[in-house]
Amino acid sequence: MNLRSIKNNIVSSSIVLSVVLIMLGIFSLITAPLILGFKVIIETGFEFFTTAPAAPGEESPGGIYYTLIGSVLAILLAVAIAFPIGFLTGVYISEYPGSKLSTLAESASHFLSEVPSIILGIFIYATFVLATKRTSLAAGALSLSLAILPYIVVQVRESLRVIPFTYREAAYSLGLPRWKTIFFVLIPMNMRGILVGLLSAFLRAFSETAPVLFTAGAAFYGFYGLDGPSSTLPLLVWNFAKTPYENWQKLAWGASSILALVSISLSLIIRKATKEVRF
Amino acid sequence: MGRDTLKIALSVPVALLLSVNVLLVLVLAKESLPVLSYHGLRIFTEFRWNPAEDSEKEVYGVIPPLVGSLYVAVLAIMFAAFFSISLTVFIQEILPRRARFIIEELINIASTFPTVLYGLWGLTVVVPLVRELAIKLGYVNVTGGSVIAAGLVLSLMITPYSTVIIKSVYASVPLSYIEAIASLGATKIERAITVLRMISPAIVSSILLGFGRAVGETTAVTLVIGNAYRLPLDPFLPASTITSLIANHFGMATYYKNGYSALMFAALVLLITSSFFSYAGLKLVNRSVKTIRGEQ
Repeated sequence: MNLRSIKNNIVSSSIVLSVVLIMLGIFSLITAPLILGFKVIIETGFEFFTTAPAAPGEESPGGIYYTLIGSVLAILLAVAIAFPIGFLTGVYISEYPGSKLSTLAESASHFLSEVPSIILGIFIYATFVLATKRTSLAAGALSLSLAILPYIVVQVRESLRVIPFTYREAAYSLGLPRWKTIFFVLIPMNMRGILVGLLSAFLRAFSETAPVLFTAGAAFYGFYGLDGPSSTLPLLVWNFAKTPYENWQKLAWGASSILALVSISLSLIIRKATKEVRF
Repeated sequence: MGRDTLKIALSVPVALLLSVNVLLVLVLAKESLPVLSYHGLRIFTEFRWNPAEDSEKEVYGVIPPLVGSLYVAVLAIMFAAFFSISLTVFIQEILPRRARFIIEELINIASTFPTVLYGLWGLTVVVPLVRELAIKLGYVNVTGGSVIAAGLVLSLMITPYSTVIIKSVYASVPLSYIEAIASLGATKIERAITVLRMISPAIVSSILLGFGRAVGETTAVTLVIGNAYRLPLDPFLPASTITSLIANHFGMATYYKNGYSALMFAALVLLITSSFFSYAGLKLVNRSVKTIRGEQ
């Protein structure tokens, strides 16, 4: 063996070794919540979805009923706030590229996507929570909407950008005004791209923890309306995983399996849908 | 509706987005004023974080957690750079084309996986491993929650992102170059090394982007870093980052005169740091993509 092939072998084996390490990491990361969590859910039974967390130190972990309600409502509200703004901003950027406002909007959306998500949370705390004097589901949804807004902008902008210019010319040649061209020709053409943006927004809102840390409150034992304290699934995992009680840790694992399952399926759907877009 | 009406109508949400950005920076700046006017630049020289009911005794210093944030992020990107370069070479040069999709699918899932689950994974897998390693190295009374544990967990979180960036630039190198390298009789590994050298600006920029992400990560880091306020020098001991400082102290901060303001200032420092690195990373990405395409 000469020096060259020795060097080759050393490099390729260290590459394979590090790939094995990282893939083991990723694999255990994805499967651990599924396996451990489903075990907890099966042991607890259907109660897991219909009750509140049990008292610390008890036998049963209790359930995630109120958190599930809070999570679903917070996500729906967050998307309902962020999607119209993000969608129209995306349309603006793709329709008037190069204009001053569109350049500004693009950098603003990029800046917002780079702001650490905990800062979004304390920003909403400093403005909304202090003004309303209480943490609430609405405040949590508001900070989540800031976290997902830039991703909607980018997705809508890209969905419109990939449509070849000839379709636009065809619409204009029929005498359609610009707004009709956008909303009745171009957007329906790439509805799939827009829906992918909507799904990614749901996925992000579903999995973010830091923005809701100080805005949503931590009400795991009841539902207090949109203007009352609430909780989300990641928040439950975060709160209960840190405790020393075995049944609360089990609860966190159970909730994390739901998080993992939804996250995996949504990201598989999103990836499949993105691959198939062709014009 | 004419052309201008549409433009004006669409400007409303754009203006809303812009004002949220401006408001965010203004609020952080305004809320950090009290602590600055009270403590002045001492916030950069004090190495204690001491909220007290007696406002005379309140002491806040942002440098140790800032160093913690940078330390954790540097460790994370070092590991992540190594992992993502290996993954790229492995996927592009070694793995048969048909088997690629499994790894790519796993990487894709990992890149959108909830951060709190990374934290939970770190708490159950990485922290005990680090504790055993630390005990072997002669530490006593260590929990495993440490700078190095946070760096490892974060590196797993960043690797999927930077792999996607590096891989796409790697694949965009013109075929004529690959043929030229092959015609000189290079092996797969030699070819990979040559291509990696060509795309090194893209690698650097993906690392900078990962750095911005690592500095701002909260939940996973707070779960595994051990949360001790100290200047982090030893990677096996617990420390804190700005994000974990905020996560741990923000709930109680409003009870103290300047505690809330001090955390807001810490957040402002974090925002400036992370946007600086993301901005630099983005500039480099654009330039390196142009360079490679321009050479065609």
